[in-house]
Amino acid sequence: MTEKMSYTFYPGCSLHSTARDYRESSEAVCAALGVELVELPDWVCCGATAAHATNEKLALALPLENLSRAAEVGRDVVVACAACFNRFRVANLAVRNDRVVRAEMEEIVGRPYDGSLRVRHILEILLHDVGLVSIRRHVRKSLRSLKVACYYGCLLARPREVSIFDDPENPRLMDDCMDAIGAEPIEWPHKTECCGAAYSLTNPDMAIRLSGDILFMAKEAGADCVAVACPLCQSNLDLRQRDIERQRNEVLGLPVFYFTQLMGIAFGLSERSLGIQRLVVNPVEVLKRIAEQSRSPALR
Amino acid sequence: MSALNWQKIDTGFARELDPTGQLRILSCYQCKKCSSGCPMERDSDLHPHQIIRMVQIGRKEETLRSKGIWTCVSCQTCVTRCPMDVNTPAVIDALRAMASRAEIPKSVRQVSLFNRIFLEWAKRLGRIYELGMMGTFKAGSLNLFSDMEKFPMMLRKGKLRILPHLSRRRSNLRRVFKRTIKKGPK
Repeated sequence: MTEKMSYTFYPGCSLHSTARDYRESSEAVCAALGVELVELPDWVCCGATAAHATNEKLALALPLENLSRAAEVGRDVVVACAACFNRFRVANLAVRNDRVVRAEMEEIVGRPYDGSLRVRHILEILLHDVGLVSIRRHVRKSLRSLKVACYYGCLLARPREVSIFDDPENPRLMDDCMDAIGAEPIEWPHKTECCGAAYSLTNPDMAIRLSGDILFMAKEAGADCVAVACPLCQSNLDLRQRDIERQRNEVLGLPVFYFTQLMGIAFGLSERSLGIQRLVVNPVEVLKRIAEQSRSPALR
Repeated sequence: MSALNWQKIDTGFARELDPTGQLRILSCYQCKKCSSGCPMERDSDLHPHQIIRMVQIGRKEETLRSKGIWTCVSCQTCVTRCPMDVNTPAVIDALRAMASRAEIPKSVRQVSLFNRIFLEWAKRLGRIYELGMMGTFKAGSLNLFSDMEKFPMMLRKGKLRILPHLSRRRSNLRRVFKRTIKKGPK
């Protein structure tokens, strides 16, 4: 890499609480790859589903309140939470495509903004801007034959106009990333099924059912662990895994990593810097295996 | 299902929900691809294709009082697969914004309660304070004990903040809330 890549980073509420490990691992991996993430000062909540289910204008104004500030700096905006990312893209497109909406939003937010910033997801910048060659070059540990079910969820893939993937029904970006760090991404059908995130608190039984379907399918397909790129997916699959096991009377024991955590492990970064200790389903078996095969002479 | 005779149908409700026609409500021809992929299909009284048809034929009261507009989890599968680009999730959002609190069926009332509490905390602090939000929600929904056993573990793992995290842009935020909620539908 010749020059330092620099982005404005919007962490969102989850990355400062339930998904602290996503922020820690994103920052650690970006630092290792020479990517600078500058947190947007005094960012505010994107409003998430609560806003778009309540008031369309509020749902656009909250992301635009952040984007119009970020525009003063001008760098691409990187978002790690899939839900925030989706709301940012939707709002950005709305003002870019419609002058009436833009005028109204500028009046509400009190600052001009034309939708010209690029809103990126962290998976996108790592795969497209940094690239597979550089990612491969940083690998220090062997994740050989570690079977990873890449779970993308809803909001990175859908709807089509905000999707970061060529094919919203069968995304490959995270699979390519896992392949580049030496792991083995598996083919499985539930890559973009919904985990029920929006109702995790209001209707936990429903979230448990949907998340359970995803985890059992991953297990069925032979996964050793799951990789995700969304804090809501992660908390449903990880935090609720014991509820799922209890309800279905069957053991899953599938660690649910942020894809950035697996990258960091492959790069040989410390577990603490990646927030591994914050995972609920204990990943000790996976980590032991990586440590053992990394010691053996036939590395990778 | 037979084709609609548009001459005999009052499309006023569809136009009320979507004045510019960009949600393409009237383009739906009931292929049911949306409902086949809907994760909430099992829990709902109205499936996505049925919601769209109810709107097409102007069954306003029934649609607004349905459970289906509240069970939608906003996963965007229906709109992504729709061959006619009908924006069903946006139609459902517009229906939710239009439904008054009195119309929401009891079994799904916690959804709108949660949304209200979420936005209240976002407005107050600029960011979500999970511990406070969950506390208000659990008290408000009289569902105090579900998930409670997870709190100590989440605190231990640093997954919950004990103190809230404030943004200094709260005054501008309050203005945004005031202007949108006043301006927007309802």
